[in-house]
Amino acid sequence: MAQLSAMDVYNLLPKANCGACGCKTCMEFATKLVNREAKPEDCPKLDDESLEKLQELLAPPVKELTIGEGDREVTVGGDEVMFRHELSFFNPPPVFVTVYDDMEEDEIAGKTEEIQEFQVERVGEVLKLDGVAVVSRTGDPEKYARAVEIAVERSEDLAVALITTDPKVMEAGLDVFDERPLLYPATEENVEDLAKLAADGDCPLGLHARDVEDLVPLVVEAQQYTDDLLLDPGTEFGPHDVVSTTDKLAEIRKAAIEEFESFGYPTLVTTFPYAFLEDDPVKAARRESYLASACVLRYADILIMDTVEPWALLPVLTQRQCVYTDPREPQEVEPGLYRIGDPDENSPVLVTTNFTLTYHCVAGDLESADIDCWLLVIDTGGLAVDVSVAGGQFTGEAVKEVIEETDIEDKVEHRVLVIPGKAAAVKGDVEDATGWDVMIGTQDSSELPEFLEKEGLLRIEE
Amino acid sequence: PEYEPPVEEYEGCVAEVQIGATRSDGGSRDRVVVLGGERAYFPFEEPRPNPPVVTFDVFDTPDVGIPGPIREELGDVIEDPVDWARTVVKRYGVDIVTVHLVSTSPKLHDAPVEEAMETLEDILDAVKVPIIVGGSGDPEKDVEVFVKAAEVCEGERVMLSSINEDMDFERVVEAAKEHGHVVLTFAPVDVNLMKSLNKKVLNRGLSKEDVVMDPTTCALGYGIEYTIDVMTRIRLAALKGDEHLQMPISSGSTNAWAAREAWMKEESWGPREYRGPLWEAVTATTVALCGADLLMMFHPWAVQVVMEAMEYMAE
Ligand code: B12
Ligand code: SF4
Repeated sequence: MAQLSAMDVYNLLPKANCGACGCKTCMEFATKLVNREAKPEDCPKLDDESLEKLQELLAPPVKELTIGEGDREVTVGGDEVMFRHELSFFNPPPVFVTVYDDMEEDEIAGKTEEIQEFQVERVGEVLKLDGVAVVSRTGDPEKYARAVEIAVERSEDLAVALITTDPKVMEAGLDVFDERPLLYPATEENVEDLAKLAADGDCPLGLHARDVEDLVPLVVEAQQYTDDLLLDPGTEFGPHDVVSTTDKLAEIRKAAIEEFESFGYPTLVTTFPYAFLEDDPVKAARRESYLASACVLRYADILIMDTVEPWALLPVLTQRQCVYTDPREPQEVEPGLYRIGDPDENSPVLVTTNFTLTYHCVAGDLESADIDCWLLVIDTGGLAVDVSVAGGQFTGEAVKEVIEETDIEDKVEHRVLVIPGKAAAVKGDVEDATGWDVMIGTQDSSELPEFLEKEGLLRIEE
Repeated sequence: PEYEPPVEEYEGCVAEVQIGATRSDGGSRDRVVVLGGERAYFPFEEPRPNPPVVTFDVFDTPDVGIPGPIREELGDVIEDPVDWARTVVKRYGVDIVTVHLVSTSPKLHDAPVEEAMETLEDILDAVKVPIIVGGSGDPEKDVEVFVKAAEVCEGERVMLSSINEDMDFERVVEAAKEHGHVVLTFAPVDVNLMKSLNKKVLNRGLSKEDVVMDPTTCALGYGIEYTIDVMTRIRLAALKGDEHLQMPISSGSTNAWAAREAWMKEESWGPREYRGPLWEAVTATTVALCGADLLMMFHPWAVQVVMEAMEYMAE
């Protein structure tokens, strides 16, 4: 899996150094291309032939494809490395949640709305679900069509997956909704029929086999009709689910990156069957959550789940957020002065660092407790409190710098700073550098509102 | 197209480290635990010769901020470390137990070393699985605790957990060498720091078979991506032949509880009784998939699920 060098790419560029792509030189543009920070189309000087060559050269070994159109579109796949530290992973796996055609109509409507509305905030980002998967359990085309209709009506921006092995039922679904839904599962028995439907409707097609090797003939057959494929090597259920399933996915991904072309497609993982395998809904949701979280690490490009329980989805969506952050970019917010609520000259001044996670923990805790205060965010180069105390970025000097740059001294009448409990070691240093009185706050910012109240710091009057 | 599974030939392999000693080895354990030995990264390339092992955390005092859901699950046994150890071995069938002698911390009870040794001996009597001896994290006191524990546990081949650059670790290494124990080296999320500490320890005469390393476990949502990268890079380096990184990896998976999603009461996230254990299980499993061989855990549900799953790494 030789990684592409900027030089290989540079050789295909016009070498005019004209700057039209936004880079000063063609070499800079080549580097951006290799790092996937630009697209070949951004260079207007490329002739068609070179453009095509470049696109081919830059195409990731795992095909990137879209499901849905317009507001309902999601992009999946597109990876080119086995491990995130080698570059980055691209396109976080969308999570689809199922509804079933044997549910009552108002149940389908209700669950679809739950999927549509689900959201949790983490680290300043709103985590949402991405799709609704309509599963046929009755085998009745009419019932299925009605279920798809409701799911589409009750959602706005969810991608749609149509799940049935029966081509007739699938067709009924497609009659209702044809904006590039994902069709799944194409198996040994029905692959020809479903692949034809997929080709006619320009839809991505998910292939399902029991094992990795069994996917190969399926891919070959489906490729005669369409190239927008997804691979499901068969989720394993039971105590070995996590290990066996992730291992199959790893095998597929490694083969793809080593250029076994039949596997150069995104993968698809279903955990929803647990809803039928376990009688206890809590057990089912736990199992789904555990399995899906592991598959996010190990190469799942789409997840199809049954649960809408926030406690079960939170680990999955958190894992996704973490695994898919770009390791090349520092996780930081702009240093400076932030207003929390509606602070005035008597409001407290709190100090924290500009690590994204730290900032959002602190700001979130203060906001949810309706505190009015000033938050001074110092530049630690995106490091957490204890990390930057240990590494010497959290210093009196760093605090002094933001105090000066933000004119906080004109905004408040007092001179009291509250620093994080984990920064207790630099209290003296901050006092010496700034001349302010420094108070040591709590270890965790969730206890901060209570602390401010108890210490009488909500309004500081001389 | 002809499909060949993408199995890679690696030059290096991870050392096998044994913890515990049976009567025939001069100890008194009923069985031993063997960690490491991997010759490939993914199980499909070659199953792991020894599946990752879960060790149950036991603290010698309940006054260390044990998360609510774990207190509820374990009940009164957390009042007495011997009872705690005995219960988790019997009830959950764990293969190894970690005894954290946190009461020795000058910041907590500052219990004398002798008192901690009594607890340790009682536990060695009460359970017959191998033991990991944990300190309190105090760089000075821990040296005293480990040096004494090495002597007290003579013959039992315990693991001393853990040593780092901030302490006089050479003394601990000497004690481990003299009494035939394993040491756990710790470095904060950094491949080079991990490597340089291991190098120093090996230069002092321990062999790879006597060392396990802990490159830090950041919780899910609290930097797990750093741990994923560091553990992956360490394991790949080992397989490429870097001798200073060819030890099994240990993970403090209980760090999962540092993430507020695991413990905080927050209605919109659903019951924390479900969140916490899942958080621990997902954190532990994630690091195990990246290469960890030993998982320090303490929520019974998480322990059971992960123990069951890990067996399959070796099949
Ligand atoms: C991830 C991590 C790293 C990552 C850093 C990622 C980042 N962007 O910061 C990396 C790998 C880079 C790293 C490096 C180092 N690390 Co480090 N790292 C950690 C780890 C595992 C988690 C840190 C984290 O993300 N915390 C989460 C955030 C949200 O916490 P926080 O910023 O503290 O914010 C909380 C509180 O402080 C409080 N709070 C925040 N602001 C405010 C404001 C007020 C007013 C109040 C009241 C409260 C408050 O609320 C927040 C939410 O709970 C910790 C161990 C741990 N804590 O689990 C070690 C740890 C912090 N690291 C440590 C060390 C030693 C280092 C290094 C020096 C080692 C090295 N590799 O050279 C370097 C230093 C690098 C540098 N500064 O140049 C030690 C520090 C020991 C110490 N206390 O002296 C720790 C504790 C590990 C250990 N046990 O040894 N590290
Ligand atoms: S637009 Fe094309 S030719 Fe001009 S600098 Fe960029 S890459 Fe080079």
